[in-house]
Amino acid sequence: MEDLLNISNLKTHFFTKKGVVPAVDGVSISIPKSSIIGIVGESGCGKSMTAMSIMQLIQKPGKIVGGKIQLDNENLLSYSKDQMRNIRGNKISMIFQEPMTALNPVYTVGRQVTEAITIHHREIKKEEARQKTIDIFRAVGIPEPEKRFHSYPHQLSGGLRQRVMIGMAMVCNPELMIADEPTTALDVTIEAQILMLMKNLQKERNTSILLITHNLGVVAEVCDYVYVMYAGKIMEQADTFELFKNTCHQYTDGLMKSIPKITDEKKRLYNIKGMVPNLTKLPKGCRFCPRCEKATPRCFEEEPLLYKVKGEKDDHYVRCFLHENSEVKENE
Amino acid sequence: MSNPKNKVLVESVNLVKEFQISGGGFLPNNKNVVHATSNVSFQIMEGETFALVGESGCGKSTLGRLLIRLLEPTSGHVEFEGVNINDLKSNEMRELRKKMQIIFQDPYASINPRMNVYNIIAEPLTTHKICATKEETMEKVKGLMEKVGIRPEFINRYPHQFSGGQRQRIGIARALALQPKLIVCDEPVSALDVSIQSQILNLLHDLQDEFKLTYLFISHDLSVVRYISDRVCVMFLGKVCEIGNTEQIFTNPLHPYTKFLIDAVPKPDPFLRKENKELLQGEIPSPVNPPTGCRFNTRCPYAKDVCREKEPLLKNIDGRQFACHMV
Repeated sequence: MEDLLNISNLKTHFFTKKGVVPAVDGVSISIPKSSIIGIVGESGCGKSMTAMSIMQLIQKPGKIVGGKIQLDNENLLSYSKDQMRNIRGNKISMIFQEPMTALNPVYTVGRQVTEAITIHHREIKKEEARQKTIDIFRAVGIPEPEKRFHSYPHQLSGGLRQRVMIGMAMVCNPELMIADEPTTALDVTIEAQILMLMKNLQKERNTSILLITHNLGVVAEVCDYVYVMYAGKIMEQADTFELFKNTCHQYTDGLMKSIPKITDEKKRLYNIKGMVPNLTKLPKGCRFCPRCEKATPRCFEEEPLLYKVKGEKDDHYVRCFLHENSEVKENE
Repeated sequence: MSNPKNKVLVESVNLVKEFQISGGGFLPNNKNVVHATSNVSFQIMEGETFALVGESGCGKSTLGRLLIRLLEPTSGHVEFEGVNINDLKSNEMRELRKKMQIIFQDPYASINPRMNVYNIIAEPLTTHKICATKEETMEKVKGLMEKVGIRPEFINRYPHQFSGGQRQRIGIARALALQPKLIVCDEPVSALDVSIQSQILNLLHDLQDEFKLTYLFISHDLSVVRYISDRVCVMFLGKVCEIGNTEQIFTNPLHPYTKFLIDAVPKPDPFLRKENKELLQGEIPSPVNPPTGCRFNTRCPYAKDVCREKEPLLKNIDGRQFACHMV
């Protein structure tokens, strides 16, 4: 399938007093048209920073130091500030974890969504923008949209606020929506509603979604293809079904084994020993090797590349010497 | 896990907690009431893990605090080892508090950033004058640190030098210091990453075996509850929906809310993906103005007229309790 967005070898580093933090360290991700792509990882693995880099919302002391982000064959990193402003919210939009902090508390939600329309499309009249806002509110399942138009964020529940955020993100019909932990702050029944809504919108409008989450359950539920990140690098990438069926990397495997499953009997949970490494003092060799049960002396010396896995599905890659072969992912 | 004995450790008897809030008006005279918990009764057996699950605002944390008398109930009372703790004087209560401790959700907020690990863990010991000498206290604190998996040489460190998981371990050590019988765990792992979460859950499990602890485990995460608990109480808007042992609740839920709740959890297995999952519609009603009749009736697809008019009572069938007209 044709790629909508292509990130290749993206590097976002933070230049702090304690040293350079390579939060995103050579990440390549491709997002095909109308697909849901997931990035999973624990806190600090660089998943949110990847998303922020796409939007170019990285703040000092952070800086994108290398790589390409291509949308429709144009490199977004070469865009000027004005050009980029035209992309944000229009072609690529973003929703965040905590809708209360992402919405402006002193304006009505209707006004905030209308603003997103009028900023990108000057030709649209106020009344038309208002109608569009009400339509999108209806589409994202907000009851009584005409009434809710005049509500302030604090008057809405967490689920409704997230619906407003999704509405705002979808109102300009973007090609890509980045969702950074969109359901983490929500209750399970509301989470299920929001995930269903995102899935349906993606189908109806052919928008691609880049879903960033720490929850493997959410990934299994909605994503087509998954990237597993650890300490700024992609460790494994595969089709969702393939990833769960034929897990190759020790980290992915450890993550899967350490979550208690609602469908499982009680048994002792697996632990990944140790902790996420300090990014300023990364171990030499494979970043995961100090915590890996199958690490060999070579893992401590040399860094593995993304090797192709011969599985049922074609595009399964893993960064581990145990799966070393001659087929290496390009850009590596 | 542990062998649930048949001795009741804590009993909640018709606990009601209402919070007064001022209404939305300009004048403060129109008082509204938040019905946090309404008439909740259950028993926790010695040595078991009793889980309270429900969505935000269902009153599970309020209930946890009521059980160890961090809050006074509006009506009803709590019995701990057969004693009504709401009748105790403050010095008697202080004595009893040694037996009941609590672990909080946010390990960044629940321990004092200005105290080092020694002071944090020793505080309950000195407050209750457990140890005669300073050396004894030091010994004890180091022992506790080892128990929860923090190296004793970190005794002079401050909370900011630890990660979230390690801080939660410090919180657990503090709760263990007085050798309590009951520990209320209020969402102890929901702020942690999955790989750390599993370490803490295993730790809680091991400590329970070693010290014969009873846990009241409050959580919104049903997967965690299934893993850790012996019995589960499902709550909705301040009311008990269903109480039963964990296996029964998860394999054969009786109350429709329990069913939807279990179904809604995203399962980490794409092969279990359902295209048209039946979802619970709508939002949680306000606890200021709970619906009449069954509190779940506004979201329940099976609701009939009787649900809107009459409040279902907690029925007792085959050792399970549930409150629904339709089952």
